[in-house]
Amino acid sequence: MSGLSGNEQMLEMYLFETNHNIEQLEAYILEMEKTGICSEDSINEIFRNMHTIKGSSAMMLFNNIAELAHAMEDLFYFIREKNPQTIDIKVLSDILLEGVDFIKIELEKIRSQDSEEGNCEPLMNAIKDFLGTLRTNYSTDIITEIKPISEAKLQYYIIPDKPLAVASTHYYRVVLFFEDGCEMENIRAYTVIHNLKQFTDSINYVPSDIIERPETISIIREKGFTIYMKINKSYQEMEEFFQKTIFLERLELVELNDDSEYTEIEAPQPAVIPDSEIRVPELKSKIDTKLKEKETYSSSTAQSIISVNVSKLDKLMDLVGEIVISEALVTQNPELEGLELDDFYKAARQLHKNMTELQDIVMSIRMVPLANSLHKLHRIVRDMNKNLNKEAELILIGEDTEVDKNIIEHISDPLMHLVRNSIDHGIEATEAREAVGKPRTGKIIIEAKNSGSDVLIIIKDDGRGFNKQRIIEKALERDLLPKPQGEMTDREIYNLIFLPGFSTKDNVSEYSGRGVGMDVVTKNLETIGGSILVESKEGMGSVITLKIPLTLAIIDGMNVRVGNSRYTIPTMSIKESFRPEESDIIVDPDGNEMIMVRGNCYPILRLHKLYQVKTDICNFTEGILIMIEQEDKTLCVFADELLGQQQVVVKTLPDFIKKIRKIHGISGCTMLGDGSISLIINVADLIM
Amino acid sequence: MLKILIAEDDFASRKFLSTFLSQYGECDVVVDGLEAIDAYMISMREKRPYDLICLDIMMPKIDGVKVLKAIRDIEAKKYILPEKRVKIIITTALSEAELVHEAFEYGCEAYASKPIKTDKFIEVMHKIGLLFEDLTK
Repeated sequence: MSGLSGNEQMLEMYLFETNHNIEQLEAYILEMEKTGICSEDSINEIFRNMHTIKGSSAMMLFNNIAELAHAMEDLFYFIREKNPQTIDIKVLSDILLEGVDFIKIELEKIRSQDSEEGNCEPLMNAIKDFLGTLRTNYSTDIITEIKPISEAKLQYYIIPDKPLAVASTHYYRVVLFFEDGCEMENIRAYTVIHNLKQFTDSINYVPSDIIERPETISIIREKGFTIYMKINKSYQEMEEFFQKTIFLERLELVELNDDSEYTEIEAPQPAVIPDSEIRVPELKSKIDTKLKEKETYSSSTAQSIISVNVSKLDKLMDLVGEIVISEALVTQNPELEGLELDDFYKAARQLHKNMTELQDIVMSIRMVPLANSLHKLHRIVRDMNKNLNKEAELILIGEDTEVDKNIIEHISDPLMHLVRNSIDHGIEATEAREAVGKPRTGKIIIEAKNSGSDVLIIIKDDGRGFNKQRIIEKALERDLLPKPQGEMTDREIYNLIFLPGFSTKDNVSEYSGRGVGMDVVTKNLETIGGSILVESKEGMGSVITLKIPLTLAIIDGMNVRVGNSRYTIPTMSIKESFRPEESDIIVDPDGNEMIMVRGNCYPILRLHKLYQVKTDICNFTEGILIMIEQEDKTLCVFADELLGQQQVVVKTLPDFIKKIRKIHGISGCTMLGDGSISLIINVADLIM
Repeated sequence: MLKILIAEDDFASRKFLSTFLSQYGECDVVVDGLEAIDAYMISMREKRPYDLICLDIMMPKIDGVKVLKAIRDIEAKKYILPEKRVKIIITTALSEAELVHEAFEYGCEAYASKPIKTDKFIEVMHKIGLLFEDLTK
């Protein structure tokens, strides 16, 4: 939505609706192709969808979409009326899907305000040809020409030439002082405003009634003429602009960080409505609210779902996070220590209970079922089957599993790449499958399910599985092997495929070979704190499991102290914590410290050494070891003491710290009850 | 030659529209909603009705949507056939969806958000049957 101006409601609505229609359409077409029958229902649905798209596109003057939709509508009109029994569904759905793709691209162009309109001519011809052959086959029927479907009311909406709001805006405050004795300061000021208006309409100025009241001259003389504005110009440009003002003595130009000062001076928008007499029609909704009330009362049961802007939900989530922190600041305030406050703690417990509930509700609002991202995969499977001449079937299980909205955005791409990978590398060609005694049609099963605070997405295929030898060969070829071949476990070998630039394909095809896709998978999963696990049996297929946290914002953490610093370790990855015996510590010749626990040896990481924190506790027997585990790797972290477990709100590190350097092993920070800052440890980073 | 009425209170927009539209016909220009209705009624009285009316929404005295409604009401009372009705294009900086729908409900032919895209404007004039020349020209 970045390219769109916020004011273009009509356009936004059009894009939203058409996108929705297109998605529905695609689903119907795929369904039709799968079953091989055009049922009356699906014909009607497709027809209806096309008709809506055509209507709204014509209104918005997106002619190519409208024409294409019209042609497709004609086609379906024919099918609906004549109901021919021998339609080649394969060809039909090919044409339709191509059309759908075309419209999708056009919509994307409109969204990014690309004025170039695609050429739908070849597609139109294909549709006409198809319709032509259909007609000749059924010419024995009544010869009635298909009448063009009666046009609805001809009304058009012309979208504005430029976006009304500018994408990158700066807020400025400028105070102008005119030369002594230049006279008519108000007129001088007005000309400045007039000139400014060619760049922006968002101008407020003090004094605001310069033309109506000549008395303002004295104010301008004394205090200067102050202008607040919202404009997409740089500081230099603005300064140059103001320097050109005639009779200017001096000016103070300040760039404001936000719009608070600007909105404070909300003069009655002089730029837009120069006269209070101007009539703006009251929106109908305001006029007959009474009538509406009645309506909503009766229809309230039908309309139980509303759509909300995601940014508002993000804000709400942030706010709840802040409240959780402030709750901790109040109830765990160090000043309360040692006081007997029964009532206070009672109230605090009540507050805590309500807070948790609030958190759960807010979290649940943001949950979206995976169904949408999963259904998109049907199309990919279909297209690949066609192009690669394979037969694969996609089976979805648990598509109503819900995850956070932000996470959904990050897993659509990985899922697509994984499915592509499965079909391209995993599923064999049909002949090869029959030769080894497998069913002709390959199966790809995607299963989503909840497990604790994670969601698991399992992608299973019954193809040929990973070829270990081949992976190693390729890795050697590209010098990607991290350690000697013999020392690598199966899992480590499989994980090689996620390295950037890795591909077992020798030549690049439409679907694979560049070694990019799997890299995208890991990158995306990393950003949402998920992990990936590969299992495979040669000849039997492979299973890829994605482990994704339900939400990103609030985690359960264990707070530990090292010197004067606090760290938070996600409780999820802690296996145990213990104070070791001196005799269990092993130091290898390189000086690496390790500890023997129940016959297993684990490396030790001293937090105070890693982050160079001064502490008195350097001896293992005085501090505490925390065993953390991630993806089968284990590490013992040495800290001074445990402070306790707490729900913490994850905040990303401030930009000014990020800019200086990337800190290894820290994923964010949070505020503790006593107001101190705790750094959240990124377990995966530390173990790597 | 078309007969065009432009109702627009902002000087710059008025100038722009009249310059742009004068290539297609004779443009009358008014600055508020009341005058627009006056001009429309005079044209009816003289039996030289307008072919196209461009209405701003934010205008002094009477707003554009009310003018639109008033004109359509007069036409209905005079039993003017739908295809004979004057073509009305709303030209405004307001683009709230509700407002657009309301204007469509009252029966405007098109709704142009400012700043006006002239090529689209011309296209619409073809579509609503005001211009007949070759579109590609």
